[in-house]
Amino acid sequence: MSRPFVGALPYGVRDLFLEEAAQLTSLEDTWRDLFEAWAYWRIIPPTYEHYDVLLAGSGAELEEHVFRVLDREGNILALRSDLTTQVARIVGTKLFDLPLPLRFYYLASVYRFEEPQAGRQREFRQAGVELIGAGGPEADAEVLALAIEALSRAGLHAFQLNVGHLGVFRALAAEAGLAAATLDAVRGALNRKDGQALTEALARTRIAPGVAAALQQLPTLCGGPEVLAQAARLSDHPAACGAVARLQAIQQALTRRGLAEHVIYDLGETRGMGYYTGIAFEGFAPGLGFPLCSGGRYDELIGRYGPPRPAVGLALATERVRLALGEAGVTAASPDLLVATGVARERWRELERLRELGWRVEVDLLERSDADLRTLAAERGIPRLALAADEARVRLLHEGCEAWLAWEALAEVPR
Amino acid sequence: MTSLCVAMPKGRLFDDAARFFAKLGCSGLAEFAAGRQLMHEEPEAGLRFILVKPSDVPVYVEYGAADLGIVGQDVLRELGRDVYEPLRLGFGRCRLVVAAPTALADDDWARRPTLRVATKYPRLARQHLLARGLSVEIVALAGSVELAPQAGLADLIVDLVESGRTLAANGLREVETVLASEACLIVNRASHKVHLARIAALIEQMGRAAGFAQRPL
Repeated sequence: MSRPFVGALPYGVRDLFLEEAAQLTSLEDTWRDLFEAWAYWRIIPPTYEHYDVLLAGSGAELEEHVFRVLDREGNILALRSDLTTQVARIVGTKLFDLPLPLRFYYLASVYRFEEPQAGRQREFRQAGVELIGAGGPEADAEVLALAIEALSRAGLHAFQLNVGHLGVFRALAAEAGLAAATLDAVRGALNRKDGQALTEALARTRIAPGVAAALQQLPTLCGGPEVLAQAARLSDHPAACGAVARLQAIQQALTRRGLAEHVIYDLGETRGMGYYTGIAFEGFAPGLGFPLCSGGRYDELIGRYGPPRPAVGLALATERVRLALGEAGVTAASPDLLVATGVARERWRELERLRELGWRVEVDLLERSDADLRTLAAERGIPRLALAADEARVRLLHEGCEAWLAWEALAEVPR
Repeated sequence: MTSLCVAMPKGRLFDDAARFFAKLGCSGLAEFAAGRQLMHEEPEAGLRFILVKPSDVPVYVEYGAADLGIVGQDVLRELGRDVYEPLRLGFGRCRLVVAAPTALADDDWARRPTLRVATKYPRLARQHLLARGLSVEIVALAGSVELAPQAGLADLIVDLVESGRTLAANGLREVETVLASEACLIVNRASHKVHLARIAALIEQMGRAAGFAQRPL
């Protein structure tokens, strides 16, 4: 095999630097502050684990897109393809005796062997939360509220969360007693909102007309809270009724928080991770064809690793949110002050003090002349330049004026 | 309010698709195809049309570069893009079939140990023939697929038929159907959520124009 060019990258990864790295950092900082304000704890699982251990949690989905690695002892390892499975393992095997609910957040890279799409490479960033040990609608509402908050604080306004509940479809499918092949055809038609394929799939099988009619209505049940009222009349099956009642309770909780305008309901989709058991949701923004975030309830996942716990979570696709925001107003932060090499040598104490006050202070280190320093500051948009200094004062170039200024006075300048 | 963007397929389906939108009051589409413009506005209908290759329609729609698109199910299934397909439009009907030279078709073709298959639909052809337990070698072509058996390139073809005349003219006979296809409306998933009411209204309107009773989304 030929050696790749020294600058080559494998398909599916990328370098982030300057503006892009700054924007990503600022997004993640915003989300970290948000999650911490809601009393979530950071969790940092390892990048790779035993393939079998992850497989026990996420099942068939993992096989399709996981990066597998062999170590030198022949163990099969997997790079994580989502954090939820890892958090479930940690809670199930290590943190099962902590008081509930447990709240964790993460900011991490995830790896999936799939075609790069919409800002997402094979390695991509996810920010998310997992709320463990609370099974009620208030817990679902908390995670949905966090999704809305996270997208709003990122700077998006016109986004929509699309919330469904797998219980409705599963109850109807169980009531109909659909065979596996029909079930797949029905689910595929629902996920494509292909009403005619749905009719055809149901016509090929023998089921009670009431259930068939209810299944055929599912693709139409997409919209505001009014679709929940329609859904309530679909079936007497207790699981279906329970699922609709859950969505109604969530709608009330979100209305109380003043967040209902961002949410629509869609009972006709059965997408989402295989381990979801209750609500499942995705967030969309105009102009970006792919979901910005997704999440759902997974009450049976932690039980695969330890004592069962109900849980609900959310993952934000960081790069896609960045893409939806566009590049408006994005700059890598430039320093507040550029300092000549000689000034820094003598006056490091004063510079330390500025840094403690939050100034970004950059030292030249290359012994540039005053003229070169002026050019550099102008090119890089650094607003202040310290050309000379003594114990009490600094000779400062700022907005074209050069003057001596007391260090004390400089420290008080708003940046 | 921004207009919704519709990706229109060049070629076979375009005229029917244009006639279809004419029923919804978009009258300028015929000239659109004749001209060299690739984008066309219908401000009254709140729609904007772009003209792309049929196999690019699902790509534009999946990425949200177009909110909606018109495409044959054959192309859609071949590409396997994740989009909604709420409505079949009743035109562009055709079938994707396996066809063999008459002599082979008469013989027990499926018992050949390996078959070489020429097609513009490599994914669907492979799926269909492998599911039948056949060992196949797929030769992906860009056109004139009917020629492949005569020229000695392939044993079978998987291709579209409307009337079957082209097959007969090339000494081929249909031996099985892979799928029945017609033109359908596809919708980007995010657009569907973000413009729910507008898109639902448009689908209903199109459903009526397609001659169905109010087609649900």
